Amino acid sequence: MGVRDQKKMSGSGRAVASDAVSDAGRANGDPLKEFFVSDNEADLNQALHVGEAYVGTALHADAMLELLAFWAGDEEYGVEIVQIQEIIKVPVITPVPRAPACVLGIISLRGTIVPVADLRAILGMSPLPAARASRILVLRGDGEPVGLLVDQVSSVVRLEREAVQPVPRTMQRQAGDLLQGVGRDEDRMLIILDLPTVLMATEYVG
Amino acid sequence: MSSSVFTPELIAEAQEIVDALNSDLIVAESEARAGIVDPDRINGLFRSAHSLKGISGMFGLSGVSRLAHDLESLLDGMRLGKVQLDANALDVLFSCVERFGALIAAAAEGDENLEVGVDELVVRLKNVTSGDVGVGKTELTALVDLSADVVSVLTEYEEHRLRENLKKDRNLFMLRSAFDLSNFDVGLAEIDAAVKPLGEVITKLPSSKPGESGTIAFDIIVGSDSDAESLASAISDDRVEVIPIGKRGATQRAAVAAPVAATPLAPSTEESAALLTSPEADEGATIRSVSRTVRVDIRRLDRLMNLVGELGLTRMAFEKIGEGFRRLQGFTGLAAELHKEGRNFERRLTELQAGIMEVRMVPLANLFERMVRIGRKVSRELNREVRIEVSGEGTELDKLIVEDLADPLMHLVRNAIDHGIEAPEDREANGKPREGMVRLTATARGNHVLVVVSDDGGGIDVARALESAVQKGLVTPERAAELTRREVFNLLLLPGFSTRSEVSEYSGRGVGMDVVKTKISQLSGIVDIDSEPGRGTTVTITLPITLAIIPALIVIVAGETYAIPLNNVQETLALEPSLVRTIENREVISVRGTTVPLVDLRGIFHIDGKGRPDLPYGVIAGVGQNATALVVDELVGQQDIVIKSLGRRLRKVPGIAGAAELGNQKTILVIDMVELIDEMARGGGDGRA
Repeated sequence: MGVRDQKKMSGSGRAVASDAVSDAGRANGDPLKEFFVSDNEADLNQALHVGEAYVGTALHADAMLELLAFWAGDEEYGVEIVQIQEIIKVPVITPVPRAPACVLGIISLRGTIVPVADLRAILGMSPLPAARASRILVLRGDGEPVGLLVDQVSSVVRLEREAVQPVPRTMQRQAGDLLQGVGRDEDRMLIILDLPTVLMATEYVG
Repeated sequence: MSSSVFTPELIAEAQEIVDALNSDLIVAESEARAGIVDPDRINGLFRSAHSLKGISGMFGLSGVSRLAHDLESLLDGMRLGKVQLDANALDVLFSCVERFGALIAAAAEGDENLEVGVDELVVRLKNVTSGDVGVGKTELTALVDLSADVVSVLTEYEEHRLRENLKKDRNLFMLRSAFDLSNFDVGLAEIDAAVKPLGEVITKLPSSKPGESGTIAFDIIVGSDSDAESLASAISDDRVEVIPIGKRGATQRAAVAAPVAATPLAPSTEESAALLTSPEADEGATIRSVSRTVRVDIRRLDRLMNLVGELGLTRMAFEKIGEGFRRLQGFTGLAAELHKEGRNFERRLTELQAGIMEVRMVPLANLFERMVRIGRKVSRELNREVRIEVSGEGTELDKLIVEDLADPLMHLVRNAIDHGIEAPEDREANGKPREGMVRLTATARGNHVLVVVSDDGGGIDVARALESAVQKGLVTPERAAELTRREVFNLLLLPGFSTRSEVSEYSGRGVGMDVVKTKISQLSGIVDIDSEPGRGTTVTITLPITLAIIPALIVIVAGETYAIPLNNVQETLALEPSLVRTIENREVISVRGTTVPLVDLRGIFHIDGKGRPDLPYGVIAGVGQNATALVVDELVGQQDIVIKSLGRRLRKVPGIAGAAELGNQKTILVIDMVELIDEMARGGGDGRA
């Protein structure tokens, strides 16, 4: 399904990946979740890759926001796709004593040590053990990658920048600093994370 | 000029030139003290200044370039004997090197147009340069058997060297030689090589005297203490005729059969002019030959080292597959072969690892020279008379360690001069030489290197140090009374300790020995202070030769696997329950009469999980008063590990030195014993069981 479509149209840029994703979405009740929970992460990672190339062209990067949408708790969140290096399944995580509470520990990603933080903990939700659908978003994080554990990855979403609204006041109280804005795509609502602030929670301060 | 042009490579190159300047200058200074002025040395300095001017000019470092230009003029004056290399000149030269270092460092930070202090130095340089020491100029033709034509083509420098040789009462000779056009350079090089041990080649002039066809003739002017015969036999080449031309040579001319009149030489053709071996041409050759080194970003070596580590993991995976085969019928032979090849592979891998390690190793010489320079500056500004002696500078350490060693070492040198060495008058009053001595030594000890900074100054006043420590609440008065001398010195390493109330610029800008201690600890090193009142202070730094790959003890505590660097481990022992006692709520054991506190990671790392087993082990780290035993559930074994940083975000987590990968795809933490021991000493953590 999504895989085939994507291959067929690859080369025409970023739009391909999200089209492929939404095509699949229409075909079935909730095949998106099926798709991303499937063991084949390569597809989404490929979408990321295509996205990277596409965002590189200034024309669209200006007007459009490319987001990866994912779930944490009952909310759907988004981060800009350029910030993501890759998406991986949850490996064994080595806990690091004395690290900030939200830091689950470290993993070795092809030889590089990457700290992994629990997004739920950063957002003040109760922690859940990693499940089958859980993924780690490996964020570029200013040159030193950081992993962010999320409940489930949903799709790639393109939004016009103008469709992003400021964070509602009611939400500002709990985690306002962590949020950049709210994106609306028809009746879908994405909470866009302010990554620099989110990642600050992973830093050890004496 | 955009900053993209001034690349890290250029910065490194500029820094190398400055380092070369500095080391030549240090040698020149000691030679000058002994009354020697070596023309090669001055030429070396001149070349460095020249190169520095070149690259800084090309890349828009205006400050460096202006300074280098005037430095070059000064050194040129010295080459020509117009300026003396005296104490005053040396001061200015050292100041220039210092300034270059600062300017280049600023450029590396992106500030390329910095010119702080340049004007002042330029003025000082000009003052020294204009202090021309006029040499009595007798016409050369009156002194040597050379025609006015020959003398007229000598460069100023060559003329100066000629006069210098006369001043030293050396014999002067002309070597008239003719070589094949095809390989005359070989002939000239042979003459160079033959003459060097006996004297100096002042110039090589192409002779206008027509040689046989297909040959080219040279007149080579040489100054030597030897006579014509020994020179001729050293050269032993019948194409070369040795003709005495100097004053002393003149007296010996009788010994040589035919009296030879000086032949007028006038290199007139373009070809011969191009062949003129000017000093500049020589310099070009030397600079080229130096560049047989490759500059490599150390991160690339880190990546290679990582790869080697991963290859090791892959090899283990192969081995496992091989084991699987061995159990299959009909595959035992192949499995055995696979195993054998695996062993071969491992050996090569070890060699590869050693090879990469070797590339990372650099001698301490450069760092020590920087310290000498800093020490010199500090002692001048504090009006101390200090000699800085260096030994063992050939000792090699991991490049990264050497870099990180610079700050703490600088601090120690400053401390030694500022707090250690007394004022000259005080020294004399105490029957010591006016000039104080600071020694920097490095010694290799197996997998460790000892770097020692010692001075012959006033030493540490134990009573005053104690008083200050009590005042600052670093130790209780009761405990203070029990401390040994060594333990008091260790107090100096605690944060917030400083025996001087005022903070002078050289007492380290408000930072103390604790910073030295912290930096050295980060390098897995140990700092030890010893001092004798009136005799001086010795600070010993013990460092591992590398941080890249180290042998470690793999242990398990509460189900988690950890690595402990073996260089921290003194011994391991079984913790029989009967050995463990409790003092003031803290568990201790007694090891050969010393009371050693126990640390259980379960407590200080808050690890939930399995409780302590019935028979745990103790891993003892640290020596003497610092000895501490880490309680571990299992000893897994010893393994070489590559320590990887936890990254910027988690690097500072105390007690953890980094992470390492084990063969079974497992990432484990590396315990920082030095830090844990410190923590215990400060009474931090909750080491209680």
